Amino acid sequence: MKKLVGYLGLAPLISFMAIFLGLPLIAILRFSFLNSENQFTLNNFVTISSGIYREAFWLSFQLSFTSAVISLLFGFLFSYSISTSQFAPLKRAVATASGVLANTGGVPLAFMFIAVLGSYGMLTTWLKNVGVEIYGGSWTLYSFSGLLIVYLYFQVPLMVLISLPLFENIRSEWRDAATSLGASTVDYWRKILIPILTPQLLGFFLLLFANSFAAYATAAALTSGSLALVPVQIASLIGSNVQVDGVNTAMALGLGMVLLVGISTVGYAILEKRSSQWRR
Amino acid sequence: MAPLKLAATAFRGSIIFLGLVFFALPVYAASVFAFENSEGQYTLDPLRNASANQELMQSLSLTLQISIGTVFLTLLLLVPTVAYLHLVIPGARAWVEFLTLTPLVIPPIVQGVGFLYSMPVWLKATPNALIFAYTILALPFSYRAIDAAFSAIDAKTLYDAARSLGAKFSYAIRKALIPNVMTGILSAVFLTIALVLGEFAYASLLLWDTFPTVLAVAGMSNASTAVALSVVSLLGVWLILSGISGLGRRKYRKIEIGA
Repeated sequence: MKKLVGYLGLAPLISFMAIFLGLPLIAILRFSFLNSENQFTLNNFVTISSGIYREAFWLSFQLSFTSAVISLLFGFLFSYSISTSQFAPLKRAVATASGVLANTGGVPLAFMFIAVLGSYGMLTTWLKNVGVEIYGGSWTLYSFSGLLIVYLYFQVPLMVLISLPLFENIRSEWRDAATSLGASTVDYWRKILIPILTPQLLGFFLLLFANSFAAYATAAALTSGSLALVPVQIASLIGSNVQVDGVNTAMALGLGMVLLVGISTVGYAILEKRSSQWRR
Repeated sequence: MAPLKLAATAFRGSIIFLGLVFFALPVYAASVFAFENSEGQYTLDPLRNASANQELMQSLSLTLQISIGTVFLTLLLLVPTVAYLHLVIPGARAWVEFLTLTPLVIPPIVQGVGFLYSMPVWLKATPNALIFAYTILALPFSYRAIDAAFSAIDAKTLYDAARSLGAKFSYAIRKALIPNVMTGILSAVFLTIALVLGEFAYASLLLWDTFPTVLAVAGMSNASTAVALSVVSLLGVWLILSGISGLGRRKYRKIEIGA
């Protein structure tokens, strides 16, 4: 009884979360199993698993998967190179810059890239001057690969941010022990570092995937909805409200996103916890 | 062995170079794009245009108003709760932390749709509704910042010491606890402001003209103003975040002097 009374102090936080996070979540669950006349149906899930909605999931998946793989590899190499460099101010500057860039995202990022790779962008003009016309063919910044480049600009910094501590936790004793037992650099990486780092890198991959899958603002501001990612489809269903059961379809799409992002994030948390045994 | 080592150093060097160019180029290009006129001279006209644009200025003041509201609500909700957790039921800390991470699992656009279809009309009729939504969105970051500060000082011992020296409850909280967790509180404040300044999904779904949503529309018609404001907001995030790391350093120095 006394224990129960003790928990009363948590009531404000818990009820706040129940109202402003719980109720919206219940609404998503409820409406995705209803039609516009509020009758129970599974039809919304049939709708979202075909046609443009299936394509939206596939497009979001491709974008998130590709941006996660590239940022994982490049971010890993970059933070490794930075942390092995002898120049400490560089490390600090990169850590700060990554923090800022990983948090910028959204609308400003879209406009900054218009200044780089838009039709009058700086890089576009430079490349034109050396004879490479990137707008010569069908490519635009507002296409899949264009958006991918922009996504890398918040994904790589996020990877740098989460992987920099990784290299601080690699103890030099491991290498010394391996070398004294006759291991070469290749052996050391293959038999020691990679097995230790693999679960954690897998976790980072899931986090990057989730981060990209959940992102909305950049795509909305850059492509004004022409690239039909899942969040873009949700917003257009809610905004236009012309389709039969449109709101319910949007809710079902949202539930699908919660499942994908949720599973990835929880996977990240589990892997992170498992690998924390190496960090002491 | 020596050539291999040289190759490895060269490889690392080129990765660092590539990374730095990748980080710096968009910032540089955007600054040039925004603040250089057609004759190649430096100009602040895009910002002047922005400050003359009433819609933009109104959105900025709305966003500032919402961020102040969000900061107040966040602190009101979290500081007493975290203090209570540390002083009374430390055993519950693990799962409360887990609970506060749940907003990360639900993408903002999905939260926004759920919010739109579950909240009463009178609440949605004012932009202040966003204050509640943003408090939730910021929760994973604000909670951890405040919780970390309380963990770092061993709040329970500090509080017990103050009480055993005769301090009343409110005095112990005000004079012993709060000053020691101020850095954590300020980090939470900064992180929350940074989040509110950039949030787009909720505001566009609920059709409120906050700074990010107005900026997104302005970009369609006036590119150089939009790019200029983007650079300025990047600068804003940078200032806010270096403010946080500055706080960390200041605290560290203070401990050194004291010791």
